[in-house]
Amino acid sequence: MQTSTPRIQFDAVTKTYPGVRALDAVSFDVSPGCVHAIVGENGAGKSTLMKILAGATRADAGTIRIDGRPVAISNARDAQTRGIAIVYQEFNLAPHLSVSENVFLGRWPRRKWFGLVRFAELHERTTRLFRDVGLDVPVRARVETLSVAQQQMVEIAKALSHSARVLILDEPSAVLTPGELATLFRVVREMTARGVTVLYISHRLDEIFELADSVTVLRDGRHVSTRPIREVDRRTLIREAVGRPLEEEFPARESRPGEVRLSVRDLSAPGRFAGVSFDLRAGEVVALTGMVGSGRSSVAMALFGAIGSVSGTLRAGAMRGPFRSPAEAKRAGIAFLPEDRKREGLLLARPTRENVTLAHMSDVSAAGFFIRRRERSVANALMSRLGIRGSALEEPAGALSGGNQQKAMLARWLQRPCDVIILDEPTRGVDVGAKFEIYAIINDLATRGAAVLMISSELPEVIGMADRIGVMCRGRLVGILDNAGRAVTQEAILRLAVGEAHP
Amino acid sequence: MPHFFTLRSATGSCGRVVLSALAVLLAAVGCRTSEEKSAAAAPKTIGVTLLTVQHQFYQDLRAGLEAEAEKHGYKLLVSTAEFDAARQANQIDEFIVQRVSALVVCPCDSRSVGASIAAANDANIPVVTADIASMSPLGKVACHVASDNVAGGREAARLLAAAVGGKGKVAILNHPEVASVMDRVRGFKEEIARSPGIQVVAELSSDGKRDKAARVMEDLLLSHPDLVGVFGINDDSALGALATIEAAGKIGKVRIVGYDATPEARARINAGAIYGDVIQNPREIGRLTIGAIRDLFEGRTPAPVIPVAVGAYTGEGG
Amino acid sequence: MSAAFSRDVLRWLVALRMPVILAALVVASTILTGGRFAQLDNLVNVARQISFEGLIAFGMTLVIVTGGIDLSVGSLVALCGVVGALVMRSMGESPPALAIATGLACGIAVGGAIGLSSGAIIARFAIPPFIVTLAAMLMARGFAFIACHGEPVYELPSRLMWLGRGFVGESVLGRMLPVPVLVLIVAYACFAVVLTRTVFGRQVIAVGSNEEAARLAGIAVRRTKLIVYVITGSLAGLTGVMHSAKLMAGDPKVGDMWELNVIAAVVVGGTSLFGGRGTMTGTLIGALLIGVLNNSLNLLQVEHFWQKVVLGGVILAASLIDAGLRRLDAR
Repeated sequence: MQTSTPRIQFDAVTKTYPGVRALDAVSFDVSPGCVHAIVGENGAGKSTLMKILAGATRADAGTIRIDGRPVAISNARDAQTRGIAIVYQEFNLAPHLSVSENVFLGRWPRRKWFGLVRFAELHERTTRLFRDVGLDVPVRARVETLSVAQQQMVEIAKALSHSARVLILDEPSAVLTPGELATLFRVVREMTARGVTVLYISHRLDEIFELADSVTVLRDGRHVSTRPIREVDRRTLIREAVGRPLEEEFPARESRPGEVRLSVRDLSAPGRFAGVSFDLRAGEVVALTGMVGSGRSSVAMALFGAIGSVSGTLRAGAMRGPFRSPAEAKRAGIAFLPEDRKREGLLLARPTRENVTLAHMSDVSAAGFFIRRRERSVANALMSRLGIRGSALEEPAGALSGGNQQKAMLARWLQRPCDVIILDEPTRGVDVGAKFEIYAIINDLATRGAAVLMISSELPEVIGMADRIGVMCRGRLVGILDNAGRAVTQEAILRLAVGEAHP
Repeated sequence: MPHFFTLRSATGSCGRVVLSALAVLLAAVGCRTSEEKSAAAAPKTIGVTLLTVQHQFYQDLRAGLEAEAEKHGYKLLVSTAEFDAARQANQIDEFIVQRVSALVVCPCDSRSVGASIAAANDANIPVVTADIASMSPLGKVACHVASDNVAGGREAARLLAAAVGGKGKVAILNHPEVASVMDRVRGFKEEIARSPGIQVVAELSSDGKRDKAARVMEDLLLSHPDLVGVFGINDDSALGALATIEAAGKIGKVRIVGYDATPEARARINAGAIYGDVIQNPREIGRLTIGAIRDLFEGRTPAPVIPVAVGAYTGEGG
Repeated sequence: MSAAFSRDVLRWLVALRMPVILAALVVASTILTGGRFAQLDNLVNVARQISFEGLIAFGMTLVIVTGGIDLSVGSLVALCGVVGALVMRSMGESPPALAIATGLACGIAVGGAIGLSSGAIIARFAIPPFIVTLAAMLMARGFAFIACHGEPVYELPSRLMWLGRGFVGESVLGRMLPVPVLVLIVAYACFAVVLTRTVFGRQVIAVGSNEEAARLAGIAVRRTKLIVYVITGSLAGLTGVMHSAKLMAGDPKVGDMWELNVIAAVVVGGTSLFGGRGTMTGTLIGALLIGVLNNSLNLLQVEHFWQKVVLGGVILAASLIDAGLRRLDAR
């Protein structure tokens, strides 16, 4: 493996955007038939480099060699013909078409007359392709009926149908549950066994150590290191990616639970979850975890009054729920950060300032009119408290990095001291450095007396942060584990999550 | 980046309005002088706002206006409101601004045109209505030139009575929003009452449009299978009715009388599909309208109403 | 450095694209009409002509910024104009000022009430605004004819004409400032402030930018949607009564196709039909653009059907220039 020609050689690849040097003479090699992980903070240049390789944008300078030959990739079609395929975080699937139609989109086998599609042949080709890589997805199903994980598999199959030799996976695990992740790993290993090179971008170091053969670290558009995975450890990777040593992955916090802030009894929503009861105390962080579809996000939405027909009782301070609208929950002192920042959280085209003051506009206005000075200073203060540069205030929220977007969402709810804050996947798509900062903010909130409910599917994060861990399985809260000593194991959580054990 | 923001706010809404206003003002100032020159030796201009130009009738009326205006060296500014009273009001405003010497109006709406006529009166512009009269208490119309629609309606009734042999059920395709049509229908009803064998069983609106007339006729044939005749208040109504009657295979069983005798209607009359038409003389209306305006220009007072005779057309040479 | 400079120039161009297009049209109209267009009384006339549809366009901007649409405004102009006229005629014995005020109030109330019902249905049942307001459009037009038995309502108090055709401060200013134009200017100022400076305006933008995000930030999405339809309906009611004053008759046939003219003005003014983006200034300029074009085509004696062709072409061209510059800017 070491002696053969590298599959891909990046040689002094450079790319400049107005005001930013996104890639600065990046050079490294990728061997054939291996999983090569790329890590770095957001803005380190990972995405830009992959976009250049996939033909979505062009480098200003430098060369890329495939199997030793220099290639010019000027558009996506070029990349395709050279056997390079990419699966983005956001899927490019037509939801109303079937799996087969999506896999061979634009290349359907046609009859000679009238261009009618030969559906039998189409489905058969797809079935064959799926069998080759060991995928189990119904080929005739419409894509919109599939789970996110299955949709991802369709994307991968689509990439492979072009007989790809290089497959780029951009944060593939962000949308997957642990069980689904195992399937993804199996498919990836199957492909490398067939000689495909997989470039794997992820923020989750666990995955990288489990799956990758080698790893490249990028920082601020520069190449830091490329090494076989067995020569590096977790610490080193974090230090290299962030550029400074991190003492701990999860900042420590002294847990001092106070009075009950949120009391939930027998909360049910038909078809989503049933009989959920727990208390949330001031100064504590409680995590809620479980597989996708286990109802954890629905519980969060229900607590915030964001879904209808919820029964049971709910008490937050003096107010009783279930609340009929988020506005009502807000008045009860509950804050909520939704899971999908772009779809549910931010006004991407509007300035960050407006996003930050959105939840409590009455604080920066008088008689319904904004007091511009006050709005700006309030937003500024919040942003600096959370460590976002002030110049981002007037930039559209969509232009911020994932971490800063998440912080802007947090800032929205920190304008007033809140009793209860519910965070749904607070670190999804956030890079290592920003993750640490968000953890610190969560701890700070708890220390100041807020009750924090954190929904997360990342088990290391759940164990590292929470005082207690609620596990959900098929719409029920099957157990609450005491994690005061940060001693709960992933296995214990998983056993509950798949319904194997009772505490 | 901060530089850009100051720039943006300076060119924000405030700046944009100022810039637009400036552009308009500059243009205004720049053109003042050229305007004053042109007013002096210009020929008399007459503003015309027609109900529509989609009907043959108005195309002929317009041709009559244009021919006569050319004869006297008047300049015509022709616009059409296409059944929109609001647009007609705007057109009259524009003519007032252009300081035309006289206005010819074929009102879209007999009532609401009054306010616009009053505005023209204020600007000392005489107004002549053609074809359709103003029924508004507002505004002073110097002269109204139109077919004698009541007589036209009577003529239509005589034609239809002859066509159906003096007995049976007949229907009217009406357009009651228009005053001239109301006159036609009134004349028609008065005259048809003299034939005791004939009953008017339905009176539905075709809006004077062919598509609507065809649809209404379908309903009529269904609800009155024994219908023997139909009077269309204009040729579009008659031709729309004809299309339905033809499709139902009832030509000859349901006789049609139209109004205006457009070339198409004449052809269908010659072919025997339509029994006959009342002929207006839109060219004559146009000619007499300009004649009335010429009287006004030369200090004579035209008669307040100038009726234009109608006739009947029942085939080649008829 | 020069790249930054040309980028600044581009930003200028993008920020000022609509006024530039308008100015070009004004200059072209002036030249082509030999100066007749730019006569002061014609300009006043153009301003008055746009003020009716322009007034509604401000409300429509709010609706479109929330991601909605209101097709009922044209019919509401007719209905409210008729209702206002009926009220005023029935109060013929009362002092004219009282009759006019009552007629105005009733017209606005009817428009607001229909806006309220459309808005309530849209907000509560999540039916596309297109369908709900289409139904309202048909019903309002029907009621307009029913209310007056198909006959325009006339014999209105003679002082009413001031509202549609009068001038503000005629003794001082001369015939410079028609009443409807003053109403338009005041409305522009109010709505520009509402959209950019008030909490309500921010809520409107938030709902249109990302409805789910607005809801999860605790914004009363339904109430916001409801209010924009009430505002637009009320404006259509006001416009209807003013238009009755202009014609001195409440005519059930007026306002045909106005909804599309109004939407065209809003969209030409740079407001996105997808919601979340729009300005009152843009709408004002869009209305001016269409008004100037209509006027100069009339002055130029362009045939009615060619006018339609030219108007359609200009709307398309303005939108294309807008989209092109925006794309250039985004790069």
